[in-house]
Amino acid sequence: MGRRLRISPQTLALLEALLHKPTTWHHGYALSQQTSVASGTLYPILMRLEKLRWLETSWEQPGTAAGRPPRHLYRLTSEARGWAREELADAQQRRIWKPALGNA
Amino acid sequence: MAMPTNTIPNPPKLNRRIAPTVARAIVRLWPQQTRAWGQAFAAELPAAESTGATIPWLIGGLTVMLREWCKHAWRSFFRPIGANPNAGESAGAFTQRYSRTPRMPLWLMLALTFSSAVILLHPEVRQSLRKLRSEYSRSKWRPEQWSSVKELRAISKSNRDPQLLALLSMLSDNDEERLRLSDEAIRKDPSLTWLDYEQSLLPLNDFNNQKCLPQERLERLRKWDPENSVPHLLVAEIIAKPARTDAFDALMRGKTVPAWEQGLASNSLWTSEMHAAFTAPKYDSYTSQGIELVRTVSSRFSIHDPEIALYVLTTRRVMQFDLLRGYAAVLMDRAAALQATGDTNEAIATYTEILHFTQRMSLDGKGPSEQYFGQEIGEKAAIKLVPLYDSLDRTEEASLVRFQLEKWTAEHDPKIMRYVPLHYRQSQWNSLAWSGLIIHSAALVLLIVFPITSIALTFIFRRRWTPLAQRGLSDFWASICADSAPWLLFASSVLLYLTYHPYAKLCSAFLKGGDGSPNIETFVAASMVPNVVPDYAELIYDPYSQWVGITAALCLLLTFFFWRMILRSKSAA
Repeated sequence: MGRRLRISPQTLALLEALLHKPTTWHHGYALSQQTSVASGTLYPILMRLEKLRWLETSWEQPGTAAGRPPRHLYRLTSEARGWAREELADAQQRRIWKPALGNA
Repeated sequence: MAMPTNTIPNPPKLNRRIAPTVARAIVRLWPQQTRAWGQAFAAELPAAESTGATIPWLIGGLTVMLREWCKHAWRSFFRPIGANPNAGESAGAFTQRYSRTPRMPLWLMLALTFSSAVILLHPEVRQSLRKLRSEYSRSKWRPEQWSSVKELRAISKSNRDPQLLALLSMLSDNDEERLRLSDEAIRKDPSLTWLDYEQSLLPLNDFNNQKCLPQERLERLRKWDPENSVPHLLVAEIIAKPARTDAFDALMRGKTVPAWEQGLASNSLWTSEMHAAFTAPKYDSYTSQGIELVRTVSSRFSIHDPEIALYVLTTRRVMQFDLLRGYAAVLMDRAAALQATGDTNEAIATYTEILHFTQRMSLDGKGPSEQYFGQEIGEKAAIKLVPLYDSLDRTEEASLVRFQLEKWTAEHDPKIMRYVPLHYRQSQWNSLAWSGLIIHSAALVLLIVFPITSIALTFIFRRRWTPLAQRGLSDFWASICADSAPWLLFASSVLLYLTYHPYAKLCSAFLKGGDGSPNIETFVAASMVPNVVPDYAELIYDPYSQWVGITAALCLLLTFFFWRMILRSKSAA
């Protein structure tokens, strides 16, 4: 397992959202909407996940959507998906978190 | 790449203008190392559907940006100033000749600078620097320009404390103000009548036109202190003044003149005043009152400036000792004549008059000059007295006089020499002068280090993004300055504090008074630091030498720039 995360309800909610469609690229605003985590909390968690190499990031191709800048996209690395599931299961077992989006 | 699942609705109309501007500003302010995250946050803004969603999004971005700044600032403490965290430059890697960058971490630089600032703000260090500054400025011996005296003057506007007024009268160089303040102080507190003695020779700064104390003040002093020799001596001074002035003028014209006291010996007014002075029960030139006054005002108003005490001690009214010498000479002649006629008892009485007066003078006078002159005059009478007592078999009195003579011989190292001509006291002078030189050097380093470091740090900070390969000699020297300056600053401050501390302690103990208080000579010697330097370094006070020094420094600077210019033109060629 990679370096352990500082587990918080917001981090668990974010991991759950990222695991919901694990191969799909997510963007910040949608993640915020899905998890109800405010942008001031969301971005530090994303930055930490990226630093721990749990998160893959990418920039949207320019010109994908006219009239707006390219967006930053995120998804869990293949290794991190396993670690994330373990973290969620552990949290569920310890009753500090329960799934909000169905089984991850 | 699979596309995100979310779709972006039309941005809210109200947020079309303001929100993007704010987001752009946030991105611009984001630390460079993590700015991509700021751009990621800003890129999401068009996705916010309403004003209610946009504002929290912006606030969130702002907090993340501030958080990143805090993290960035914290991490920068552990990097040297001007280091480029993104460049991945390594000091050990291949470097150009002038690619040196500062190596001292910012936290160490700040710790040293902060410690130096704390030391430099210490009252003792500030006092030493103030004394140094006054030595090179016009405020030397001009109390009205001192901040402590200005503060006392400000207090006196609302608080007419008699002691405060008395001290201000002694610190004023305006004759009218001196008299006005001392009159008010005496009116409020008659125990301060001794101030009349301090005002007894005005104008203060015009030696040629100095007038003696007006009769009414003299009478006031005499009434207040009837047992003291000093008021009688002041009257005798007034009587003797024309004869002494004539003698002095004649001397200035190159004429040989008889001793002025010979003419005054027949003046019964003068002789009776001098006799009254020599036979008065006490001799007090109010030195201790002056010191106590400074101590009282210092503690009452919490203004502890040893310069005030030094000024009061060294500029106060000094008794005209040649008057005493003159009258003693008249008495010595008279006693010798009596001795020659065989009137031994009367001769003894005359010599004893001199001896007793000088004993009182050296004992009660408190000041070193009184002790010195008392000894000088008294020794002559004592030497004459011993054989006279022996001849009359008055062995007990003879042994007492011998004892006094031996005591004076033992104290022959004249105390007055401890005042200024310390060249005669080589070891003490050396320690004072070396301390002065060390403090001067430390202050000079501070003076040089401050501007150079400021320039170097600004230069480094502005060129922090410049690649190593493009850096030149200026970068090299700036990095040397940035690394060495905090240590120099710290070392100079510590040196300044440690060197001046013993003297500051002595001055402070003197101002406090009490059992542990040093004597006047020690205080005056301590007060001379840091303004005394060894003989060979005295040229620093000479304006010509200062001019030469500054010119040489500017020439060196010019040479440096010229050399740099040559190097640049060579490398360009």
